[in-house]
Amino acid sequence: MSKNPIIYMDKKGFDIIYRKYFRILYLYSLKIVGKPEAAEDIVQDIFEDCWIRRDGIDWESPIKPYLYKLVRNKSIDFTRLTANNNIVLSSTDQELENIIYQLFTTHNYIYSHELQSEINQAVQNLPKKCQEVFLLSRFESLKNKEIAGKLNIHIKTVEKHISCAIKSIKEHLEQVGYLTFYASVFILHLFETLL
Amino acid sequence: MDIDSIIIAYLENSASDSEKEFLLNWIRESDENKRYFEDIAITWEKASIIYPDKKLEVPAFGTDAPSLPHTKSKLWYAISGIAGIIIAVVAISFFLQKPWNDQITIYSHDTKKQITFPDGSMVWLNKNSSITFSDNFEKNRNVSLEGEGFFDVKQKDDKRPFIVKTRLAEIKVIGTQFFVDNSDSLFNEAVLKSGVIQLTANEESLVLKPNQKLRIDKATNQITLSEVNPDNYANWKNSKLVFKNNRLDDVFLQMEKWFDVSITNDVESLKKFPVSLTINDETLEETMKMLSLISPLSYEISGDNVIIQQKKKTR
Repeated sequence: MSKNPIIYMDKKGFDIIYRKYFRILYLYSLKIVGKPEAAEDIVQDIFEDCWIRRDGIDWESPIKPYLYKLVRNKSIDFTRLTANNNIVLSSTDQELENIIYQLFTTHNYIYSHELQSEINQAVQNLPKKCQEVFLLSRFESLKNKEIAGKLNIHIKTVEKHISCAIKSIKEHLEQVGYLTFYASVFILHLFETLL
Repeated sequence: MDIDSIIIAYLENSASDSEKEFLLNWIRESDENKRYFEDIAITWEKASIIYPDKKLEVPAFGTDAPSLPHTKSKLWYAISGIAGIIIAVVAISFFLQKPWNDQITIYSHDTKKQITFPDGSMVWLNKNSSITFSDNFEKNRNVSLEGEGFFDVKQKDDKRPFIVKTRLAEIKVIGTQFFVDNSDSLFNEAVLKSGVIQLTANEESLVLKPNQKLRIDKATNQITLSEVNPDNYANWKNSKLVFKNNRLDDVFLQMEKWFDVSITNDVESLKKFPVSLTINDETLEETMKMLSLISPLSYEISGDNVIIQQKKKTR
């Protein structure tokens, strides 16, 4: 009995998944298709499709790698379909995309409430302006250009603030021991390849 | 431009072609560089998953969720609209629970208590449990439970859902009888006898069917579901326990709730052994003695723990 797919996906639960992952999936798709409107449509379509097929999806297993996979396939299909419309991914783009795809789809199990609260902790300790920019980009899902307009600062300044935010979050995570864990996973992986 | 800014520019899709090329070459240079890139990328990704937390202050421009992008399907509007309403209802009820509404808390201490709510719904509290609700219960059927309780909810009303909150989960009732136990320090359990309940914990929502038991592990937040006999979890609320050819492990389960003790039985052959007996106001000692006469078990009581053993054969 307990082996049956038991997680019934309702609208509330689905909306949470949508709001959680839309931004990162959009930014990921954009790396492949290069056009914001296309990336938005692709991710939107995938969510609509997942909602329609919700009873056939195994919601118990990690959903993030699955969503990345769907976005990747659909984005690549899109570039192929429009190949004569001059979307050609450079080998640099392809290689970088490959690295982050592997990275974002294999570390899912680390995601936890504790990690989230550590991130929140780090965000609270950010310098005022940096925090404001970071929260606008994450919670309001504003694009960097829109934030620059809203706060009347240069887009490069926005990027600098986000960069500073990510760096201090990373430092905080290192201090509380989260990133060392990634390092040990990496070393283990290295051993496996050597053997 | 330093390497951190280039990495983040790439992740945020604002890097130029030459920056990307520089980045890729830098990553290829050494494993150390690659790992550095990965650390930043993971941090960036985790911090970009939008997961509003009450503790965080969002700038005063508005606290709405990210706006839904333009969409082609009407279905999507319907979905998000309804979800929005649900979230709004939950958020409003959260604020209504704040202390400026008078809260009433009923403690059961060392007895069992039966409480009838203004709408006719009832709760049986087991020992050492408490239930809290606000004085405008008529409008807002939200209760908070500590410990164990058996609920019999009357008046199915979509506008006023009956919601039971525990430390780990929130249970929305759709007309029903069910049992919640969050007295254990390691687990949180809900068992449904009849009707339907919807349980939300860890951002996940699931619907429980009759005869199902849901258990949340407090340490790992793991959720497991199993089929059970709900009477084993609810009979403690009655004035007596009646067993007719019940398996011993069912009897132990009910006795645990009845006497508020822990009974450990590792003897496989005893678990399915059928017994018939009625417990009225017998003590734990008397009941165990009775059981040892009608089944091949011996027992040891120390404080709140009972250990069951196979009865040694007498020559």
